[in-house]
Amino acid sequence: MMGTVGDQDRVEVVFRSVHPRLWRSLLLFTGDAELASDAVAEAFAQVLRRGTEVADVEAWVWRSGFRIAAGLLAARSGPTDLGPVDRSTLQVGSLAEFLDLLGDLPSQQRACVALRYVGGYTSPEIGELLGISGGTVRVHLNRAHAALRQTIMEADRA
Amino acid sequence: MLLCARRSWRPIVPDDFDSVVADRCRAVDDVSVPADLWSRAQVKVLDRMPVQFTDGEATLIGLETPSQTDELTTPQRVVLAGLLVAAAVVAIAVVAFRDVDDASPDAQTATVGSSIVESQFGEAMESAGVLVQPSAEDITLASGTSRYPPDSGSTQVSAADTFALLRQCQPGYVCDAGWAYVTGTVDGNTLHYGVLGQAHDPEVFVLDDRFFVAMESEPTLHPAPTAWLIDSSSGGYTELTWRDEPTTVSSPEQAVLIGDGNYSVSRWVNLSRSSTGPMEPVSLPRVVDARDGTIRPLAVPDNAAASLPVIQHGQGRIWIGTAPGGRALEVEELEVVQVAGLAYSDDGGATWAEVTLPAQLFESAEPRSDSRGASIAAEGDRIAVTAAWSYNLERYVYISHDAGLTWSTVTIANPSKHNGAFLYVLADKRLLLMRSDDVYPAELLVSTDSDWTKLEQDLPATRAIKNKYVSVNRDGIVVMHFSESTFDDGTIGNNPDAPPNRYRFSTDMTNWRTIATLDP
Repeated sequence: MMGTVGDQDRVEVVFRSVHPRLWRSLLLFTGDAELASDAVAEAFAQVLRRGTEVADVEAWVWRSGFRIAAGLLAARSGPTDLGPVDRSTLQVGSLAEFLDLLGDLPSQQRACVALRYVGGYTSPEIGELLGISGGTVRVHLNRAHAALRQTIMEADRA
Repeated sequence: MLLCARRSWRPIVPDDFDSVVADRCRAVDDVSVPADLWSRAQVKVLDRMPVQFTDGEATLIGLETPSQTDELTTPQRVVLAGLLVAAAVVAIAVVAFRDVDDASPDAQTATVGSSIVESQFGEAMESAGVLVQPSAEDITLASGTSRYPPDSGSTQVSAADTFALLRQCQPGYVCDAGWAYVTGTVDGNTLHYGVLGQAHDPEVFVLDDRFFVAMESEPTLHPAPTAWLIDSSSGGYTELTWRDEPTTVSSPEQAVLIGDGNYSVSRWVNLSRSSTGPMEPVSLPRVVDARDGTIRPLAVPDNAAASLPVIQHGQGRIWIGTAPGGRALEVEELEVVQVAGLAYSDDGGATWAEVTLPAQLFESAEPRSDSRGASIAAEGDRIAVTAAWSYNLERYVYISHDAGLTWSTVTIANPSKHNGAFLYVLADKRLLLMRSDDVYPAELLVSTDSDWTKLEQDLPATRAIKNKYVSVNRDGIVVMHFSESTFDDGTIGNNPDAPPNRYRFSTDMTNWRTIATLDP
């Protein structure tokens, strides 16, 4: 069912408030600005198609955005392979380096890092969005920290 | 610019590296967000062509109408959205990937997800990232009931109402992989398909509420048996790496695999269709480690007897059978030449306490070349043991309530003499004694309440007949399988009374259920 004008307004209000944070979270998750853009656009397009069927638009687009992005990543180069980072698009050297580091993490760990540090969600909230428990989120974050710590320290020593 | 910084008020797993990661991620705030995202979304709406995925995990298209969610709180809505998303994923997987020529009774769609208590084992498996989601091609193959027909492999149901079953690729099909699986919830609301690979008659075991293990026989034919872990929640799977080195259980990220005994339904179904002869059962515990994706033997004493399985739930105390040299109740010239015992560990196999079985047990045992000696069930401090086969007019069941320090005897009429008997522990910790004239269960006796010394006979709906296999798995779930080739009188043929879905399961042997998605 296509959403009505009123539904579109409702979705657009959420879009205005959410999309920068969602897009940047997906950028961290995917390492690819174009892919992040496609995931955001697709998530909101699906909400617009459903109209009033989606009660909580914000929660829906966060969850959908990450799943769509995961699907796009999988379709492109396998579920755990970020592929090359488009540095010319990003034009921020330190970010490109960080995205490279994140690219070595498993998908779920990247998602947790992105949702925690850019999305600003708590562990239980991340768990609900990703369909895992809050405890699992904490495990992912701790393991991501451990992996990043080792890599960053090695880079600093070099 | 301030997106990362403003998150600091949220209480979330702070550690000494938290601020470092937060600082690093602030760089993303400097990246300009594309200005055309809203217009791109609107274009996509007009195109009405959603993004196509090859991975069901990532597929969100087809979300059902959550009309009642307006009354829910925000967190509830998030959860409900997740459940509906999972439902949509399963529905798409089932509908879109099913063989068009298969008018299968499996052809049902899912509506909601399952609720399974998260364990640290499950969390560790997720964190390890080793679970593989079946590809669309694999789902297509596995859901084809012509290629992988129902009832072509073993089935298990857990206490959490999850299930896993195996299906074997049929002759005439070019199957790169010999075995496929179906898993999900028994109410039919979650259903996943996947393809495993080649293996020699793998048997499926309950590992915990969520995970199952499919493992081929060991160790005679395959010193390093092929084994897979199947996740009933996500539908993912991973091949476990066999390690010969024994290990203890010292971490919640390890899980103990307990076999269901020599006469489990799962094993009998395999035996009935195997062309290569009996398999060796999993009699000694195995340990699945989520941290490295391995399966290996539990560390046991040198006299651990693989031929003397102990039926148990596998939680907390672990029981094993023992015998000098690890050879229990070996038969030599029709004489029982070895004395068997038991041992238990309360610390995951680090230390073991020896238990002596009553000597009278062996006096009533019938030496048979195929004998497995004794049937033993244990739960905490309680043990029940009886001769697997007895030629006396009375059968003796020896009961201990203090981990083998003292024993009492329960006497049961044994009118048909050469009568096999098998002991199990039900989900409510009652004792079940199953006895028969042959390998098929004919009669079930159940202890009253928690008293294992009072075995009631012929309770309502507890009588089994010969054309069914009945056993109890480690979760205390009674599993029944209707044989299509054996009638009540024991004759062999094509039994038209065998239902299409030949598995039934129960926790009380009165109320029997089926796996809903597999029903016609």
